[in-house]
Amino acid sequence: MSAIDVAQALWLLLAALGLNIAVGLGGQPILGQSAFVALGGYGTVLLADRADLPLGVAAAVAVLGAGLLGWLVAVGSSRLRGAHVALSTWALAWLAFAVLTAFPGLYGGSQGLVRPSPARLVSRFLGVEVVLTPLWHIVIAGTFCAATMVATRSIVRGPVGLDLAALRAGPAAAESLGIPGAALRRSTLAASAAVGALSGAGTAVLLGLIAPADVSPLLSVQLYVAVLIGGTASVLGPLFGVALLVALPGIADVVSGTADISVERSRGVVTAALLVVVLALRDPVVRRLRALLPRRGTAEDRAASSVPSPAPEGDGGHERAGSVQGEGRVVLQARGLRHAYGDIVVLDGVDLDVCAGEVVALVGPNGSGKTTTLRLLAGATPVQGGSVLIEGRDVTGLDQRGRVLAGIVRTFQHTALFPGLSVADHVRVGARGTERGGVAWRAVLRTPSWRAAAAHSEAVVQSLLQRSGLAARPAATSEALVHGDQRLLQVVRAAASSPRVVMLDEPAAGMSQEELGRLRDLVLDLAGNGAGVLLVEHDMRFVAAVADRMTVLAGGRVIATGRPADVRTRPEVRAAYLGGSAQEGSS
Amino acid sequence: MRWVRVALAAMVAASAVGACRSGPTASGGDVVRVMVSAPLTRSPWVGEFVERGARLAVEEINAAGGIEVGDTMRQLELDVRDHAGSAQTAQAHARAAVERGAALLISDGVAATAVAQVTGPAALPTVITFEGGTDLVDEDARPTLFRLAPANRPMTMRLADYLADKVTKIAVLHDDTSYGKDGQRELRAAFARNETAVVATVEVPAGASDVAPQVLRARRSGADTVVVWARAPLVAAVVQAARSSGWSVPLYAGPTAEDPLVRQQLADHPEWIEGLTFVSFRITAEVGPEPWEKFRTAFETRFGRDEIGVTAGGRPVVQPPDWAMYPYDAVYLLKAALERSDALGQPLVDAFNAVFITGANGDERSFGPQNHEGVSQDDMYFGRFAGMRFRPVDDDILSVNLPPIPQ
Repeated sequence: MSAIDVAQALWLLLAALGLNIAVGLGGQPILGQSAFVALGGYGTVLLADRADLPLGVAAAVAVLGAGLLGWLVAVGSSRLRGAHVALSTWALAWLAFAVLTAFPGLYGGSQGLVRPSPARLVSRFLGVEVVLTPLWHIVIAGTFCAATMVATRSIVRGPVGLDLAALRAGPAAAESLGIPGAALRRSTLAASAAVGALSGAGTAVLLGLIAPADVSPLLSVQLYVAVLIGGTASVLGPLFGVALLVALPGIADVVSGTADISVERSRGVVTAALLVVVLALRDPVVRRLRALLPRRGTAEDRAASSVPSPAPEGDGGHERAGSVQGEGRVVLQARGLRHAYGDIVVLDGVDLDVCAGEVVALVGPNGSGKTTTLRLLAGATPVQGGSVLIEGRDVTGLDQRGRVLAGIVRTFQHTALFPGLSVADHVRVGARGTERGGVAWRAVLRTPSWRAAAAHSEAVVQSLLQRSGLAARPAATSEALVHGDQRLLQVVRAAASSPRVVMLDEPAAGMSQEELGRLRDLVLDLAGNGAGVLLVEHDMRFVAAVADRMTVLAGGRVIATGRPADVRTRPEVRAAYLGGSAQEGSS
Repeated sequence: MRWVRVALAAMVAASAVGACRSGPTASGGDVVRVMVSAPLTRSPWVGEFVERGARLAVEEINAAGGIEVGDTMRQLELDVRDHAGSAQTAQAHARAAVERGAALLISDGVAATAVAQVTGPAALPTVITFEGGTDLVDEDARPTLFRLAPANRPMTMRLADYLADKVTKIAVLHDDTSYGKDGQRELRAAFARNETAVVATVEVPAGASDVAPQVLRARRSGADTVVVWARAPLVAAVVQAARSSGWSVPLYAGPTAEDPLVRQQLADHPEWIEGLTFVSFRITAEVGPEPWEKFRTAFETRFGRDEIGVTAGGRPVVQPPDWAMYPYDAVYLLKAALERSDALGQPLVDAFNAVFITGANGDERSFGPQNHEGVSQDDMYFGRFAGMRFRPVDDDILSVNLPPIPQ
């Protein structure tokens, strides 16, 4: 390989590393990277040669423009997931290609746009002129690749990496904990696009050439395959992928030569066949390699390496208090909540109060509106009528993230964990919900304020794990837990952000007696530490064991509220919901 | 850290494998290397004629002892590469040609300007054998770039002259490729020069399968003649749309009408292609058909007859290897130039500007310092389809005396 080939491969690697930010970190199947590469390449050449901007400025403008386009694409596709994201970005790649081929006068057609190579960088201010030889390109592209890998690794190992891992594993659950999913998707796609554009700019300047055929949708597929081969979860993945893509045609030639078939005509087919073989063998080979290599850092390693030592016992603020701080103060207030799905009214003027240190059970027959109430209170569903106040502050207009920051968090009716993440990391994700913006930069720079906050957060996490009985297996993945522990983990995860109000949606479902005891202790512990707990639960014995008050919903209205023992005896409640089960539950 | 080491080791190994790719290794000065860079997989018809024409010449020269460079006879070595339509790959092939000390680069013309940026400083003669783009050849800006193929400008000028006294209102349909747009510009300029009215200029997406709306637009313009300047699939689509709608307007096209693809796509309605006339380069020369027939025999003996999959008069139609003459002649020009210069580099480029040969069809092939176009306007002729085969028209003075080519 000549120096120019190495430099070109490095610029290609940069595009793959950029794509890995959106695919590997953001979990978005982006098939439009070629559009951003094209924007970088064409933008740089057109701005430098036709608008007479200095080359560096032209490249910077093109890269920023691509970043903005990536951000806009993420906004436009914010409601899409999975295959729909892939299809929409694939359409973007084709759209870019169609535009490039439709205007050959501007974009050069099959001949491409040609500019002088090697390019010259001139700084009148510094009085310096640099001829960008291929060796310079190797240095520059290599530096960008290394910087991108280091930054990606820092993000993966830092708190934002944890957020992204949670988002990939369970978007709904992560967003319910206050993880800003949409913002993270926008950021990763914008970063991915900007790095892709940088790659396009570098390649165009290196070769003095950019043509539509070289930034066709095929490039998007190649880059996606490169990321896929190397493994989307790996920072080094694109390195393997691009190296293989560069090497495969050569290997194909050897195979063709050995089989005595025309190298020129068989290269494409043999390369594709080898690609299939590589993809098929990748997972088994990676598994074997991992078995041979020492295990990577566990959750405990992460805790030990990424944050200072936990604060002393009792400093985390979650220890059971003798008297509940602020007890009796209303922390959650809902007034006149109303919600309808079309013509069907599911909530009709629901009022609800939860005080600090109080456990309020929200019960009612199926379809009475309990889960809808929790969704409205959590901000997962926009409020159509009524208001929600947290500690007297009106949060009605806030989204989920805003509500979590205000101090209200919920669990799901079904078990919604983050497969692949450890028990401790689940709780850390929960603790991340109330951290403010700018954490990513502070984490990368490891500022004193971030270190202090991280230490406090880790202390809370460890304390919660201890108090919930989950501390025995902090490094185990959530799939390895028994059902009851998974349900407990959901509660602990929600509680990790030290919320004012915790809303639990049928947390006891499917639990054994022993597990129910631990759940009861945990709920009481949360309340004992000053949180208000709003509990939706069908297990009336469990409700009786933990609830200070009970509110009964029927047909979308509150039909009774008060002490559980009193409420259960009311005829309207028995008629609407409890019936025979009331006797059963109270017996 | 072991992961990092493993990764680096893998990258180095993969890079090493990659470095070992692509054909024969560079050898000493015993062979004269000719590199062909063509769209073998993207446009097989173009790729094949470029490769086969060059290969036939290389094999003939080697069989005759090689090229005499100084006091030494040297064999030619052909290095064929597929750029698949990629400009960057075509440019990479040019770099490889320079690095491997090639004496000649034969290309279809993709990324010719960028290729010349590489071959120019290395004084590597580069011959375009297909693309007819007007601005590609520039003796001053790209002194190592030559063309042995019909350029768009002389072809469109010949077509405009030919139609000048035959038609009154012309509709031009072209595709949105650079070939189509460049041709459209040249056609408009040529018709304007002759004061022929162009009543409609219609652009059609290259990938369009149904062009009926565009053809209808041309029909409504009142045109009495349609000129199509587009890739082969679109030429076929326009013929189909016009004839299936009952429009019997005379149809003219550029050289892509000769592409077998057009006849393959119209195989179900051979009557539709009747009368389709195209401008291209003449296959035989003033000296008669003998040189061409000799070349054709050698070509078909080596590679077989190119039956295109349609029949006429109960017999399969065979495509003559006319375009393959250009890469063939390019290799013979190299032989003549190298035997004159005895050295690669600038002496060889200078010799390219000075030598002449008799080409495969008997025409003289030569370039000059201020003329890097190897096919002149006088070499253009008009072919017209009859029964899935084409023959020279009888109403053009430069075509009427050309013999029909057996197909």
